[in-house]
Amino acid sequence: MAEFFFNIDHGYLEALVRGFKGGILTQADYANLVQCETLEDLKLHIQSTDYGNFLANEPGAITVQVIDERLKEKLVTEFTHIRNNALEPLATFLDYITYSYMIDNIILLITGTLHQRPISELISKCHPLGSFEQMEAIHIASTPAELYNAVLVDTPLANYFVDCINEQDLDEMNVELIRNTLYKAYLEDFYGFCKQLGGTTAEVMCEILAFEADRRSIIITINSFDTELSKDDREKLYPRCGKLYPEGLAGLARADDYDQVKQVCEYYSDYKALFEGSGNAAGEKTLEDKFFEHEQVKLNVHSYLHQFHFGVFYAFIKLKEQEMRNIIWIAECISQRHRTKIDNYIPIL
Amino acid sequence: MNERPFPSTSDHWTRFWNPPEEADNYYDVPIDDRFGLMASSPKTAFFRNDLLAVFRIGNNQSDRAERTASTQASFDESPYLNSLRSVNSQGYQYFYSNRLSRRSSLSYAVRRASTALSSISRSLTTMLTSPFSRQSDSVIETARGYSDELNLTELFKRKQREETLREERGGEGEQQDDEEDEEMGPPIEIMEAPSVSGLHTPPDAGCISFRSEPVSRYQLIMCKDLAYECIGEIGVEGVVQIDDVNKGMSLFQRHFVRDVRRCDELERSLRYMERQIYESRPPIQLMPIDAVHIEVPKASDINQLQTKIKDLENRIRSSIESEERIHKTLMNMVEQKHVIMKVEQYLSEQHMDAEAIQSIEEGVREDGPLTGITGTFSFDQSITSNTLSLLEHQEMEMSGLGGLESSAVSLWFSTGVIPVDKKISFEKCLWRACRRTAFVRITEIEEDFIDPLTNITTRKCVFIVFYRGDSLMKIVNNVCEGYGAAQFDCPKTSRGRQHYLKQLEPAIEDMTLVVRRTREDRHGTLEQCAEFVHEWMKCVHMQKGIYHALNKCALDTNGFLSAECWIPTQSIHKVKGAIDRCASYGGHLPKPVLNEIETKAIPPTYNVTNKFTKVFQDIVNAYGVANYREVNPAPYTVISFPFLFALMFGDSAHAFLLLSASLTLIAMEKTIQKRRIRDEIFTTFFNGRYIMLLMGIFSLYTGFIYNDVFGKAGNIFGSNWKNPYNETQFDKWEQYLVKHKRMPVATLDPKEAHDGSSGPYLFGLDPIWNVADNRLSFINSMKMKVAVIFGIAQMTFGVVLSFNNFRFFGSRIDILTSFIPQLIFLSSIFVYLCGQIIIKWIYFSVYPGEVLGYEYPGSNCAPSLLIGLINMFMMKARREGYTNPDGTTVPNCYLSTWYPGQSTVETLLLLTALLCIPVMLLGKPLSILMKRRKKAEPLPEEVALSDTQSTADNIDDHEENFVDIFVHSGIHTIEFVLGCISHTASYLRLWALSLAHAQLSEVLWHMLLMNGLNAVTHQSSSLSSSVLGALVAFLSFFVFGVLTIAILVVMEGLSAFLHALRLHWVEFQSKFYSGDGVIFQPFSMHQCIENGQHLSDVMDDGED
Repeated sequence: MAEFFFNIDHGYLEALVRGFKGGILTQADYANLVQCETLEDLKLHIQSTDYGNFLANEPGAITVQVIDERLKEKLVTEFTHIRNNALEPLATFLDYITYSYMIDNIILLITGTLHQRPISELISKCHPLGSFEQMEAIHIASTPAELYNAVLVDTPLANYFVDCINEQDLDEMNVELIRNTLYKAYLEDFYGFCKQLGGTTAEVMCEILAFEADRRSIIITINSFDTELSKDDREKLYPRCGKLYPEGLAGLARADDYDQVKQVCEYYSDYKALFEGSGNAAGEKTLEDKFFEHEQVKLNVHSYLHQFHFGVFYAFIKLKEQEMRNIIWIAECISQRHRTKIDNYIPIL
Repeated sequence: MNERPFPSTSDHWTRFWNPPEEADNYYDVPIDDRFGLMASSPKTAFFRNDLLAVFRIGNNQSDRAERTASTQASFDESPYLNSLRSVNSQGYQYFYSNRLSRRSSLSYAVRRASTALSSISRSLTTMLTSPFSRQSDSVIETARGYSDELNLTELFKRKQREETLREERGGEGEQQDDEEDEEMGPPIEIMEAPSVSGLHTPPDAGCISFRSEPVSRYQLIMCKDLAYECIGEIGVEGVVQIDDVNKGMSLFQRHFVRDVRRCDELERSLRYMERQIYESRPPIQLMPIDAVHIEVPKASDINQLQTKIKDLENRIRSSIESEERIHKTLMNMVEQKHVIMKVEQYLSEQHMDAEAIQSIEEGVREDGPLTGITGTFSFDQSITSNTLSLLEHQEMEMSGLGGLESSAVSLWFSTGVIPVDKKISFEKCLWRACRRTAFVRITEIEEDFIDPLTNITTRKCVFIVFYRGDSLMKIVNNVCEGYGAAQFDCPKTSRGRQHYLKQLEPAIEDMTLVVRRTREDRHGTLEQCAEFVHEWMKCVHMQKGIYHALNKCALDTNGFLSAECWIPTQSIHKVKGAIDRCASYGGHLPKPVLNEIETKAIPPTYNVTNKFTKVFQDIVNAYGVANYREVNPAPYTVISFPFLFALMFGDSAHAFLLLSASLTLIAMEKTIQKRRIRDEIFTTFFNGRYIMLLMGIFSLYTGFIYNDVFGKAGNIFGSNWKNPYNETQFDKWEQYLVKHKRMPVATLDPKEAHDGSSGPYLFGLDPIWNVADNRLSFINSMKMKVAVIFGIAQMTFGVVLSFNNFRFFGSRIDILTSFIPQLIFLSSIFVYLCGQIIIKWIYFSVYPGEVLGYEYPGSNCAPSLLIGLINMFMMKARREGYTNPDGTTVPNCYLSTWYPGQSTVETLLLLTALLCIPVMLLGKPLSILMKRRKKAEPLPEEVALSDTQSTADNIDDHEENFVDIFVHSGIHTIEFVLGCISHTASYLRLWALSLAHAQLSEVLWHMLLMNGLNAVTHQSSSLSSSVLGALVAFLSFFVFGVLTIAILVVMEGLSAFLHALRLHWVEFQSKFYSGDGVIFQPFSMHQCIENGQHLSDVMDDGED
C-alpha cells in the first residue's frame, strides 16, 4: 500500500537522487582519469563529467586537498538540498545517515585531542555531513562520562553513548572501543528503524545494514588478534543485526586466528566468496577491498533496481562517497607520481 | 528610385560603404524605393544562378532569361520554388530591415508587412494551382508579374559583394576587391543591413531555405603556424562546421590543450575580476560585451593579456587580503571595545557579582537545576538596588589580576564575544561543562558586523562568565576556543577599563581610516578593470573557441594540420576569402589549402534563417531536424502557422492586444537584447516576438471576418437583413408580452427579411447574427466547415510536398506507389467532401427552385453532408431528388442524393480510394523485390568477380531489409489511411477553440462588464448610489481587464498556439517530413562568445 502514496511525499526527491546517480562516473570515465598526467588534466577531464565546472573557479594550481574539499562541498550541497526538502519519515532516515559521520567526527576529534592537535585543525578535517554544533567543544572532555555529560547529551548520539560511560579514561584503546560501541548501537538502531519502516525500504536497507554489521564484526575480530582486547570485550562490540547473529558471532567470539574466522564464515555463502578471492599478495584484492566492492557494487547499486524505497538515498551517499575516495585516490597517485597503484580504485558502474 | 525613404540613414551607410578604390562603382544602381532595403537577398540570388534567371526576366533581357529559365527546368530544384523563395525572402528581408530603421512608423511597417505577405500568398497560390507543372512558361509569367514590382534587374547587374555586407555588419573591416565590376553611377541607398542583429543570425545572406542548403565535405590543410589565424578567420565567417577527427582522444591528450587551459585560467581570473566589480560599492558600470564587432585576436595577444590580467588579479587579491587582515584587527578592537563597555556597564550598574556568587554557591550545594543562571540580562534594567557595588568596594582593597574577591570566595570572570547563533548552545555547554558552577551573562551587541569579503552581516554577543578556581578556568577557556569565541582580557577595575577604552577609541579610528583607504584604492583599480574586462573576456572566449576548434584537427608529422569540415556550397567563397585573408598574414608560409573530398557521410542540414524566420525554423526543428536536402516545412509554416492560430483566436480586440504586445517587444528589441535578460518566461515570449506579430495581424483579420470584438459584433457595413413586420404585428407582440410576461420570439424569414440583391455581405459576418437566438448554430456550422476545408487543404499540400521530396531525390517508385495513391485517396474522399461543402454554400438557399437538376422545395431539404458522407461509405441506397413524381416532398428529403448520378460517382470514388490502399501497401515492397530478382539472376554468371563474398553479404543485408521495407510500408499505409480520417477530425479543433474563445469572451462581457455597468444605470439617481455605481463599474472593469488579458489573451493564446503547433507537427508534417537529420553547427566566433558568456553567467549563479 505504501507504494501507492510514496510519490506524493518522496517522489520528487527519489527522482532527484536517481538523477544524481546517473551522474556517477562510469568505467570509461575512470579509464580516462587514470590516463591523466597532471592534476590539471584531471580537472579538464572531470569538467566533461557530471561534476562540471566545480573546480573552475579555483585560483592557482589545484591540489588534492582542494579537490577533496570541493567534492565534499558538492556532496553536502546535494545532501542538504535533499534533507531540506524531505518529509517524515525520510527526514529521520536521512538524519540516520548523518549519524555515522557524526560518530567518525567525534572519534577523530577525541583522537586528535589525545595527540594534542589544535582543535581548529581537527575541525577542518571533519566530514561536513557529520558536523554538529557541540562538536567543537569536544576537547574539553577528559573522560567518557564528561564527554557524555557536557557534549553529547544533546545530540542524537546520546542514546548510543550510554554504554560507553563506564570506561575510565580516554586513551587510544578506549577510543577504539567507544567507536565500535557507538557503531554497534548505531547500526542496531538504524536497523530497527528500517525494519519498522517496513516495505521495500526494510527489504533493501536491512540487507545493506546486515552486511555492514557483519563486515564490522569480521574486521573487528581480525584486527583484535594480538591486542589486549579480551574475547569478552570483543564480543560486546559485535553489532547484533547481521546474518552472523547469533551463531556466527559466537563463532567469531571464539576465534583465535584468521583461519578460524574464515572457517566461521564458510557457512555463509555470501561471505565465503569474499574470503576466497582475497589475499594480501600482489594482484589480489585485500579483504577490505572485497568487502567494499560487495557493499558498493552489489548492494548499493542493486538498491536502485527497486522502486519506492529510501535505500536509494543511503546508496547514493555511499556510492558518492566511494566515488570521492576513488577520485582522491587517483588524484593522489597522480600528484605523487605513484602510477603503479593507480588502478586500485573500486569502480562503481 | 525617385523617392528615398530614409535619406539620413543613407548617409550613414555611405560611410561604411566606401571602399578605398572602387568607391564609385557601388553607388550607381537605380533602385526601387520600396525594395531598396533588400540588398542582401538579391546578393544571395546572384550566387544562385537559377534565382537570378527568374528575376532577370522581368526586364529588357527577357529573351536571354527565358533561355536560362528553360535550362533551369531541368535543374533539380523547380523554378517556381525559387521564385517563391526569392519573393518570400524579399518580403521578409524588406519588412524587417525596415523595422530596424527607427524612423519607420508603425503603419508603414504594417503596410510593408502586408505587401510582403500578400506577395508570398500569391506565390503560394501559384504553387498550389500549378503544383506539378514544370513548364518554365508559367514561371516566367509569375516572375514577370513580380518584376514590375521588383525592379531589381539593375541591381542584379551589379557585382555582388558579400564582403560589403560583412562590412556593413562590422562597420569596419577591409574590402575584398578581387571580384570587381564595370560600371559606375550614383550610389545605392542601402539601408541598415539585416545582419546588424548579428548576435543570433548566422552571417549569411538569405531568409529561409525551402530545402536545406547543399553542404559538402572539405578538407582544410593548414600550416601549423598559420592554423590559428586561419581557423580564426573562418570562425568570423561562421559558416564552417568542423568535425572532430580525434574522437577517440580524450581532451587532455590533444595538441592545443595547454592553450585551452591557459584560456580557462584567464577566464577564471576575469570572472573573478568581474565578480569583484559587480560587488564593489559604489557600483561600477561594466561595459557590455560587444558581440557585433568581431576581430580575431592575435595568438600572441594572449601573452600580454596574461601578464596584465595576472598582475591585476594579484593586485586585487592582495588588496583584498590586506583589507581582510586590517579589517580583522579592526573588528577585534571594536569587539574589545564593546566588551569593555558592556562589562563596565554591567558591573557598575548592577551588583550582579553578588548574585552570581550566591547562585554558584547554591549550584554547588544543591546540585540541582538552576534556571536563574542561564538567562540573558538586559542593561536597560533600571537599577533599583543600592548603588554601592560590592565590586567597587572590593576594588579599592585589591587591584590584582586574580579577579574579584569577596569576603569568603574568590571569583574570576572571563569575557569575550560570540556569534548570536551559537549563543544558546554555548551557554548550555558552559553550564554542563562547569557542572552548573559557572554564571553566564550574555548580551547582544547592537552593531552589525560585516564581513568585507562575503558581505554577510553577523550579529554578535558579549558574554561574561563568572567562575571559581583554576580548573574551571581551563574548561571555560577550552569551551571558548571550541566555539570560536574571541576572549578578551578585561581590566579588572573600572578605572582600568575607562583608561583602556580611551586608548582604544583613537586606534579604532585610525584603523577605520586605513580600511577605507584600502577600499578606495581597490575601487580605483576595479574601475580601471571595468573598462577592459569584457573586452578581454571576449578576446579570451574567442581564443578558447579557436583552440577548441584546432583540437578537432589532425596533426601530421610535417607540421600541417588538417581539418575535416562541412561547408555550405553557397558560402564557399566566404571561406575562400577568409583563407586568402589569413594567407596574407602568413607572409612566406604556405597558403592553407581547401580540398573538396568525397564522402559517404550524410551531410548536416543547414537551413538559412534570419531573425524573423528563425522562430519558425525553430518550431520545425523542435519536432525534428530535416534530413539533408529534404523539403523544409518552415517557409510554409511562416504563413500557415499564424493563420491556423488566427482561426482559433479570432477576436479583433484580443488580436489588437497581442499585436501591440509584439510590436512593443519588437520596438524595444535592441534595448532588451542589450540587457541580456535571462528570465526564462520572458525570453520565450521575446524570442517569439515575430511570430506573435504575425499571429496578431492574422487574428485581427479573422476577428473582422468572425465580427468579434470582445465577443461582441461591430456594425460597420450595416446589415443585409431588414425588418419584415408591420405595426399590427408589433401590437400583437405587446399584447402577448402583457399576457404571458415574456417576449415572443420574432423569426426573420430570409425569404422576406434578407436582402440578397447586393450580393453576399460585404465583409465577414453580418452583425445581425449577434442578436439572433440561433447564432451559435449558424456560426458553428460555418466555422466547422471552414476548419475542414482548411485542414484538408493543408493536408493535401503536405502530400504535394512529399511529391516534391520524391522528385528531388529521384525516387520514381515512391511517386508511383506513395504520392499518387495518397493523393487519389485523399481527393476521392476528403477533397470531394470539401467540394460538396462549397457547392452547398453556393447553390442551396431558402428559395425553392431547380437546383442541380432536381426540384428543390426549400431549406428543409438542404442535403446533410455528414450523413451523406457516412452513406457514401456504407454505399446505402438513397432516393434521388427531393420530390415524389406527384410533386410532394419526400420524407427526410435532406438524406436524398442531390445531383444526378451521385450514387454512381460516390461508389466510384470510394472504390478508387479503396484500390489505392493495396497500391500503397504492396507497391513499394513488390517493386523492390522484383528489382532484386532481376539483379540476382545474372549474378551466378559473374563468378569470376573477385568480390563475390561481399556481394553475398550485400544480399543478406537486402533480405533483412526487405522485411523492414514491408513492415515500414505497412505502417506507413495504415498511418496514412487512418490518419486521413483522424486528422480531418483533428482539424475540427480550429472550430472548437474558436467557439470556446468566443463564448468565453461573451461570458466575460455579459457576466462581468455588463453587470458592472448596469449597476450604475439601475440605481436611483441619488449621489451616494451613483458613487457606489461608479465604484462598481470601476471594479468590474478592472476585473474584466485583468481576466481578459490573463485568460483570453495569454492563456487562450497559448492554448491556440499549442494547437496550431500540434496541427503542424502531426497533421501537416506527417504527410511528408521525416525529420531525422543532423543540424549544421558552424564554428563561429559569435557562438564562442555566447557560450563563454553563458558559462560565466552559470558560474556566477552557482556562486550565489
